Amino acid sequence: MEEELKKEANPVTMINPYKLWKTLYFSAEDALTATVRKSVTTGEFASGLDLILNSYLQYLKMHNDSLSRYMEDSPFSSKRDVARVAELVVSLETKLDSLEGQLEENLAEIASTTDLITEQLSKQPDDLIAKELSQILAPAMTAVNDLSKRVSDLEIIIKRIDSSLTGIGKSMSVESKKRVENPSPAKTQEAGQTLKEMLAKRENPPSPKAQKPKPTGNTGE
Amino acid sequence: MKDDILIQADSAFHIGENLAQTNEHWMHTTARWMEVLAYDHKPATGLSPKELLWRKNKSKLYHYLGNTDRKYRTPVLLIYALINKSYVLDLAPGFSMVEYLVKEGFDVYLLDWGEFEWEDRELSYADFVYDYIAPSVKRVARNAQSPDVSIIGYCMGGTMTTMYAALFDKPVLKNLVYLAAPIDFTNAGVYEVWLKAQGYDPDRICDALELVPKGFIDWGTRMLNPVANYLGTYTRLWKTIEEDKPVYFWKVLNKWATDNINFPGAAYRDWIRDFYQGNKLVKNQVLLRGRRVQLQKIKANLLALVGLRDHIALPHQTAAALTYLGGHDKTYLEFPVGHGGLVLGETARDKVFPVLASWLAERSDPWLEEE
Repeated sequence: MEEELKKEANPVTMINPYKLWKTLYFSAEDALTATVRKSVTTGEFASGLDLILNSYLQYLKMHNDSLSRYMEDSPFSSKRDVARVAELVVSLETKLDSLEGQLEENLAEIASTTDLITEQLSKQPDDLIAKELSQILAPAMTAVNDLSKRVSDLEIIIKRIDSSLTGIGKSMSVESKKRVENPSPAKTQEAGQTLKEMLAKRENPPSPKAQKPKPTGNTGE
Repeated sequence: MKDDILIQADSAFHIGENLAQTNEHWMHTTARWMEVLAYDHKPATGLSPKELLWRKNKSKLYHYLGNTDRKYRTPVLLIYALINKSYVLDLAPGFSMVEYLVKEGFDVYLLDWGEFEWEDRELSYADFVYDYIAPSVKRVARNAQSPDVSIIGYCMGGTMTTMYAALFDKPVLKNLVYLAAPIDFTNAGVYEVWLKAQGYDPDRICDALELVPKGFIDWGTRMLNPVANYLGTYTRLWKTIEEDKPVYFWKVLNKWATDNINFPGAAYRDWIRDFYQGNKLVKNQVLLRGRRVQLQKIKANLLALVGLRDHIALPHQTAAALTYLGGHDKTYLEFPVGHGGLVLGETARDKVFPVLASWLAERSDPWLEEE
């Protein structure tokens, strides 16, 4: 029989019932989807749904209220009691969290401030120090400059005195030579001593110790 | 298609053989399909190396570490929504926004909200903005040694980022990226009909539920397109197996889509009443701890990315940011994808991530080695 069927050479065409069913089913499902989807968007559907919902909610509220009243006197903890404990835990966690948040914020602020200070200092340390020092030392520097000027003025004066004294010394030696030729010994010796003393004083000024202390205004000693 | 339906063979025997093979393939497909749904382990997600920088309550601020040298001083903080989990931004290697940005040389951070429990039912948007987002941004800037930051807000995360950006000026928000983030809540599609219906009262929901359960949120999201989400997801898996395509990406996506989180009741009330029903954000009427959120105060460079097929945050809802925000550098780009397609899938990897990275690169300060 099988061999006979195989030997049939005529090509045969027929509908595949499985594929047909599949195609029909999914087409029908698509059509149903569209129709139902359209129907759920109507006001009538919504009203019907609300009617069922409100009836259920009414029953649920009544049930919950009576159960709550029963649980109030019950020795067992209710869902509400457990939730209350959970709420306390959550609020405690919130407090800790807020503290942690504040701490983190403060630490971040301190860190950023410190970073800013460090950054600014590292950027212009020399300039800043130099500026501060120059401000502090400005009066001292003025005083030093003033002193230096005075000293140089003094040096000029001393040089002038020195040169004039040298000139005087020279003229006096010429005069003394003349006087040797016509001696007047007492005057010559006096003049020579005075000049020597002056020169010696200039080269070796008297030490402060050697000077007689001037009387101070403070008489309480 | 016709070629698939019709079988052509030399003989009736070959046709029978073909049908038998298809039958066997379908049996195997169905067995494997059931196996994937029932037994297969969930694939690992969020695999990019990271360190925990800060934690508060259930929320965690992650800092991503990479082998690539850092190129930009301005760090990037990702802020996710309060619906589903944030690992969609780092879904799988090769399909991860985080991985892409790290490889591009950005210093990347992610604020993961964690899973809200009963004790978190009173958390409001004011709490999220003041106590979670603001300290996170501070820590990010400090850790990155940068005076400014870039924030990418996905979906509701973008809305929350907007409120933060309007209220806090330090650290400077240099770049703001919206990924399908609703800013203007007028004509919000299906949500417009549902949430503005006369019988829908967010106060009643919050009073009864207090902590809005993840099932409620999941149901609300899935009901936007019920057949596709409740049935199509699984038939698509069967089709993927039958066509011998890899199921890894389906598994990853399905893991994320079904991995929802509870929604704090107070925030849910604000979300529906102030945003969807009141549209207070664009009217500058949102008050957080007594301070008014004024959108014109946001001067950051803005990039708004939207999916043209998005039915959760419609394109015009995000595009409104270009009108209301105060900066001068504003860019708006559309992609042919849905809500999730901006962060997962091939379009995201090949088009969205490169555009996002280059836009950020142009507007981020370079990282100098001596820093």
